[in-house]
Amino acid sequence: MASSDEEGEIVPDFVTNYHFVNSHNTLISFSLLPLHWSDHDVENGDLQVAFLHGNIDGGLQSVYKEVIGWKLELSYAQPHVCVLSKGKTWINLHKPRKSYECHVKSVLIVADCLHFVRRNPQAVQKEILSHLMKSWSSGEFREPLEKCLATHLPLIRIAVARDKDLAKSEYLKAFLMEVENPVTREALCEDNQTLKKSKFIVPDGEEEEDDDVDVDDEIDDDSDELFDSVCAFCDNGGDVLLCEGKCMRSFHPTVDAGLDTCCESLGFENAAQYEAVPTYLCDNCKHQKHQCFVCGSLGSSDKSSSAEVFPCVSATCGHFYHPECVANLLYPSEADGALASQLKSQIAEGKSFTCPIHKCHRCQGGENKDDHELQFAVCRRCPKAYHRKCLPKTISFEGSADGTIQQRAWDDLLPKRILMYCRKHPIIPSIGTPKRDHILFPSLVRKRNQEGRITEMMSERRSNALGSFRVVETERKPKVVERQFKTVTYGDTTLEKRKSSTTYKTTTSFENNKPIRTNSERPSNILRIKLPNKDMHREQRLPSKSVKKMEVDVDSPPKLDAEMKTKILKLMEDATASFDPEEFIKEKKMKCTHKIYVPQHGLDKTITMGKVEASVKAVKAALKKLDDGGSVEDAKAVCEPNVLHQLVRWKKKLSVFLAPFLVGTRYTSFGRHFTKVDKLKEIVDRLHWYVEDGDTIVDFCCGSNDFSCFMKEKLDSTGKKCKYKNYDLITPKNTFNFEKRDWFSVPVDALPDGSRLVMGLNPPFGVKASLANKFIDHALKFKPKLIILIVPQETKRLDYKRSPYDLIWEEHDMLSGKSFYLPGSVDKQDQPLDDWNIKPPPLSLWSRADWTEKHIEVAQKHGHIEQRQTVPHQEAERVVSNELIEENLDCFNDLPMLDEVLKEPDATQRNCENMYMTTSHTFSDMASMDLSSPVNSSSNNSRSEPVRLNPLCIQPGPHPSYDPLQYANTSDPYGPGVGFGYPYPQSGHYANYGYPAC
Amino acid sequence: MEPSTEYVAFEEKVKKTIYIDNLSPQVTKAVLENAMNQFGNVKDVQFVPTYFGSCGVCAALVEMESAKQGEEIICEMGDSPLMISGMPRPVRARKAQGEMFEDRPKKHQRTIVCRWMDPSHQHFELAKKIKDLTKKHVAEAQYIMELQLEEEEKLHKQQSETLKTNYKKYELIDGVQADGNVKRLKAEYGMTLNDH
Repeated sequence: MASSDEEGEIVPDFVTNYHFVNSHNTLISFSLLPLHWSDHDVENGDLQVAFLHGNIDGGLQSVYKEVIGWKLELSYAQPHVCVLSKGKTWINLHKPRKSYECHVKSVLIVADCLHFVRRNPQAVQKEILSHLMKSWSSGEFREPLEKCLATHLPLIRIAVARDKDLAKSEYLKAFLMEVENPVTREALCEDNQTLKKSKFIVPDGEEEEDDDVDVDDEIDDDSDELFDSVCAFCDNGGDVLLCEGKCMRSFHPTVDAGLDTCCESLGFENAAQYEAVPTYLCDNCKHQKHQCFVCGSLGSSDKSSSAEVFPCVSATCGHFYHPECVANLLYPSEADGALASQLKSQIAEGKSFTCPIHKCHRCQGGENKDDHELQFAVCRRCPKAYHRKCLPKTISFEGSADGTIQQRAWDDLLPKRILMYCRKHPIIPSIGTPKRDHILFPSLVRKRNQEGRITEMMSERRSNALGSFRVVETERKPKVVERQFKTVTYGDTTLEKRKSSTTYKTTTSFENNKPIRTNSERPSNILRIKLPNKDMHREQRLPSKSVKKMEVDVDSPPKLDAEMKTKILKLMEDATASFDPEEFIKEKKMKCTHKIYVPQHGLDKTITMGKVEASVKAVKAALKKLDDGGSVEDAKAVCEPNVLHQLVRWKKKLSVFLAPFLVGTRYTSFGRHFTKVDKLKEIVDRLHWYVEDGDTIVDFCCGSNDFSCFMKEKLDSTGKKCKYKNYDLITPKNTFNFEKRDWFSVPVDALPDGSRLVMGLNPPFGVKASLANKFIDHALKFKPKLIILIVPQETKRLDYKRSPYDLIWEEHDMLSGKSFYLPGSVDKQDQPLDDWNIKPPPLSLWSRADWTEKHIEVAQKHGHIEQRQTVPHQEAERVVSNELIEENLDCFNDLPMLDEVLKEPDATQRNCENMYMTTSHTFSDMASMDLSSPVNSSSNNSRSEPVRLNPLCIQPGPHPSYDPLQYANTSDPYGPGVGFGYPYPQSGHYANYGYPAC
Repeated sequence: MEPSTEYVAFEEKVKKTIYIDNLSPQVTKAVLENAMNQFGNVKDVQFVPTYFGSCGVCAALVEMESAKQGEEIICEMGDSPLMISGMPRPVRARKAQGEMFEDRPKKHQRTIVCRWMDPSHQHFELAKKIKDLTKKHVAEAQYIMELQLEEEEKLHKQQSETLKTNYKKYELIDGVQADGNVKRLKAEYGMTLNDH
């Protein structure tokens, strides 16, 4: 809102929403105007003058100008198209008016294409197309590229003639050649049409294939999921919201989510509403009042005061009981009355117990989830469970067509369990479940007492059979309700879970509503669930123009405060509405192609506090049981073995999620670390002997792009002429033969034949070298004759690949010591931060089998390997040159006991640096950001110091020279949507980040 | 009127400069320089006050070697959020504008004179309008800023809460693993120890 202090003609820098007309007011393309290639170099156009209409100033003002020429500026990051106004100023064109787009699309595509090939002279058609596909959505990009180019042939001719970078483009050369020869041109176009189609689809397909493969590598496999994720109201899966509390239940948050089963749901209006709750607690857990699973009445579960109901200690149970109820169930016979009363008092004193769900009702045996027959069928309404083999026939998996037998049991809804309703609970055909009045929520009710003061009191709210929403009557009287449930693949997609494929739409509006209420004491106090008015929030979603400047019309004096406020609020609302968080996240997701280390959903929302607490408690209880002489089976009923696996997995996930916090100080700019220049030179000194004239050197992850430069320097000095190609996701300072591109998206035909290829060097490592493996795998697709690598030891060796490569030599000690640095970070003395690996990654040279002989010869000649030495497949003897490292290794070796402990923080820390943070890492759950918190994952080998949550208190690290302040100078990747303030979403559980675990 | 040559030179400089905000107060010139040097050559760094932002946030003008480099950085930072000094959030980069420079030269060699204006003056109404408008803009900007800070505060609270609970979970699990309970139970169950 700075006002400029001068006046004069408004000269817009750029216009948006523009269109051009000629003097007859018909739409024309600006490309008909004279093309200015440089100030003195003007091509004649078909048209001498045109009129520009458009918006400037973020759409606040419109402009109308006479224009007399145009130019194409290709030297910037984006192609710029400018038009020359009659006043001799250049106006940048941004976005055309939608309806005008068709007139200029082809020329804009050509501009984009020229811009791309100018930067990538070696690009082939496929690459160009895939680039264009990125900026032009497929819908907009229908015509074959060649046709576009052909329509702007003069432009291309001029461009190629004037711009020496463009002249280098092989693609354009080929294209112009084809054009000169019109006979083949038609064929070319046609050919490309088909080509284009298939090619556009192929990369996607390939990627998907890749991803499928990656799934196997994924660190967390949730195959033995322990907790159910079906809605507690309607017992169906789908989008559920998990309670963080002790009940470990899930609920359909919105009516929409539970539409299939007419679930009454928690009554949230939309996803945004419940996502805004960082930790959801159901009403029972919030007020610490839980229902007894036997008698159904509410009781306080607050251990600090007088608890009435107590949770079952089993890790996965989550049910509460009155001591009396459960004791009577466990000792049902009269004879055991004494035992029952003893147990009752024990439980009331807080002794742990396991409820009857964990023993088969018929045979009293325990559960074994891995044995199909010994899996449990658990009733969702009362504490009763059967083995699959003991399940009474009357509890049927299939309903009969005439409705006499109802389906009472469902496979695949619970993980390795059967969901069932026992015979006690009559099934209501229209909803396929028993009455849904089983849940009793305590709620706060504000009530005016006689004195008119508001008092708060607890009331209870029962779940309803059908909720209180209007039911759509589409089909009357279904005899059999088909409930088809799919297995909920739990944890993989927290929110994108499919809706159950139920075809169940019908429900009659139902007289059952009344009897259901019988339990609630004071009907007047019943809180009606607020019904989402779907139309209401739809309306808000109406797209509106994104509002960048929040300026309001200017005429009124400043005193109109309230009006101004509402106006501003309205504008902000519009701006928010026009921002689609899902779209935003999707876009970011698309940019990070390495799904392997980008779990789709960030932190698993399924790891709830209640579950963690219960599991931890169960572990202790199980041990106690064993100590008290209990059998292993009893212990397993408390804490099944999978819980232990689960704990490990959870910890892994949590530590991945918390990594920037746990190892915050070591967390650097984009998580990159580069090899130091002097080391690179050493490598180059060795490598150049193997390179031949005409080879292409490819650095698939070039970082600062120094390697290729040194190679070129060296090779030029030895008279070898080579080509270079460097890829990375982040543009370095030195753009020598650089292409900003994800290595995995580089198609095989983008580079020359494998026998001309030398590839390297230092890929990001990733969790357990997973990324390094991916990089190598992609590199192998090119079949390069030589691969030089700096990768950690645990990387899959190239001699074990499908087409094995031979190891020429491997250097263990070359990269020991401070061989790496963290780009963009400085220490206290403003020197770049050094970095080293406790276990230095070896430098290795691999050769394609048919070239091995030749390369070994070279290696022997230059003393890289000894004469007559066979190719060392075994690890070479380790030479430790660096004192520090020696020390550290010693400490590893001497203390094998500690090894387990030590490895972990260390590995985390290492991986962090080596991690490549691509784009969408939403550490949104990470607070605004406590990264500089004094978390000293020490640079030596000691275990991480206790972590403090308070970012302001700085605690010196165990290593004297590495206090956090120094590390505070690191720049860190951060999620989009984090702390960007206002218009961004809080995409908590979308958090995507490629962060390593231990 | 042609702009002064000094101004033309200044405009060139503006083109090469990017404006970076959401910087941590801990960021020094050297830190910023280094962070930006990854992408291009920094010629000059100049910290500027943030008039609207909260006190904990700084901003700077970074002059790069060329306009192209500046654009690349803006593009890069849009793609992948960059944290400088960890706090408090990823920095934002945008093109600098002339008005951001306090020491900008005058575009035209003119002098601005302040004087009282007589209400009877023919331009009085106009001047008053302009004055009111400026005031209004300030009020509006302030209000928006307030709203935004409120929003940020909310987000911050929410995020720190999530962090805290998650950390608590982590500690719980870590605790039970550290005191050997998990190992013992695994041994009892005869499971293979595979902690990592």
